[in-house]
Amino acid sequence: MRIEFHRVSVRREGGFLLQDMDLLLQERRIGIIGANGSGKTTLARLCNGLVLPDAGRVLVDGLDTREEAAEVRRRVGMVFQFPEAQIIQPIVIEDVAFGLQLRGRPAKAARAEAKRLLERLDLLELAERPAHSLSGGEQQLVALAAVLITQPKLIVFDEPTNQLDLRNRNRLQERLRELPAKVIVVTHDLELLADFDRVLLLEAGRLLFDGPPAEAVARYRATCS
Amino acid sequence: MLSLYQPGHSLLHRLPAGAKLIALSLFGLLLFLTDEARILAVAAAGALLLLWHLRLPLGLLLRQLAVTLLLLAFLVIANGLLLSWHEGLIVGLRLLALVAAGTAVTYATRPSEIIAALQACLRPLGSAGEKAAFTLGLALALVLRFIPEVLYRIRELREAMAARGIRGGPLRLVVPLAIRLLRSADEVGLALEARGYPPDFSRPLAKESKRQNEQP
Repeated sequence: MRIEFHRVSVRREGGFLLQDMDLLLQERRIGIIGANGSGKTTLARLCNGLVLPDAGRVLVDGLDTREEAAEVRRRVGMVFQFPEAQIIQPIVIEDVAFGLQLRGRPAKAARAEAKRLLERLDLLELAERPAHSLSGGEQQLVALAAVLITQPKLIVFDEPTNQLDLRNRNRLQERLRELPAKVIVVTHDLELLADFDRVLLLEAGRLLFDGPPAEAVARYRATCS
Repeated sequence: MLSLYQPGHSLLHRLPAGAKLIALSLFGLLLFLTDEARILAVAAAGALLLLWHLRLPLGLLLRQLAVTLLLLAFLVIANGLLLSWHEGLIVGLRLLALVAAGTAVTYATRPSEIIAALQACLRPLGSAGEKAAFTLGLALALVLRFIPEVLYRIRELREAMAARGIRGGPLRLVVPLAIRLLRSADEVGLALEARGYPPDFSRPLAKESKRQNEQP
């Protein structure tokens, strides 16, 4: 699985959210850090075609996100910053099954598969709960399950630990380690990235640093002091 | 309403959703075909018995139905004062039976089962019906999904206004509520896209799995 950015720029309201980005992403675990407004979420959303570049191209396994968005999204799943926005169906198990139904799986089979997945993730006790009644941490884990069920090759997380208490944050970190898919994580939680393969540091829509986590974090801390 | 469903194993829970909806519709229709107080009293008692059979906590029921019961009481009194107390009794029993039966069915039926039952009506129309059924299901799911969100946002705004010492009626909530809900709707739209909407009806999963296996 490889994602290529070729001179990618995204403009909004007269300014650049991202500017002239050239990247090749193929490591198993990649972190993206930077100040608010530095372009992290835009970069993450470019990876599955939710944001399209105003200039340049983004290729996912050779597929242009502009031309083959549907196929790209089958390969790249996304866990949003606010999981409550991601949860569409009113009951947890239905929401987890929903991704499969969108791909043509009959409701009953999708539900059975969702149940198996929730069991594997230790979330079966949430299966019949109304999604809106879950805590922020539970919603985040359900949102992850809803993405995992479609077996994407890459999962993009946008600030996944934002709303989590320490217990759920650690739980999510463990899940990240165990995931079979590659991951790209946008985060302010710098400790989360300690054992990542590569970290990108963004500033004002440009790549300021690209390298191992310890150095990236040190550089980020230096820019903030 | 979404939050009314309570998991359980009662007979009513086990009945197919379609049968429950048809029975509820017929029951509602029959209630309006009679003005006989004794028949309506039996119907109301039967519907309350159905609700009791679910063994739900009384506090929960009263909390959820408080507004409906107040409205019902108002209608009985209004009819009693304006027309006759007999008419008030008829209206009261009829609505009580309908509300109790509707509540029992809603408590004992998953929203998805209700949606699936409605979708089943469209399926015989072929592939166009299949698409319409999916769209209808999604639309209903989104409505159900947004009900608690709207309530949550209203509470959140009220608390924020109270914290800042701002007083005012519900009209003050309209603009900030609309802005928050529109933002939320935007995010939900993005999430739907990210999760693969719109579905490709021409490509069932069997073909898709094969495709994925062929990928390097």
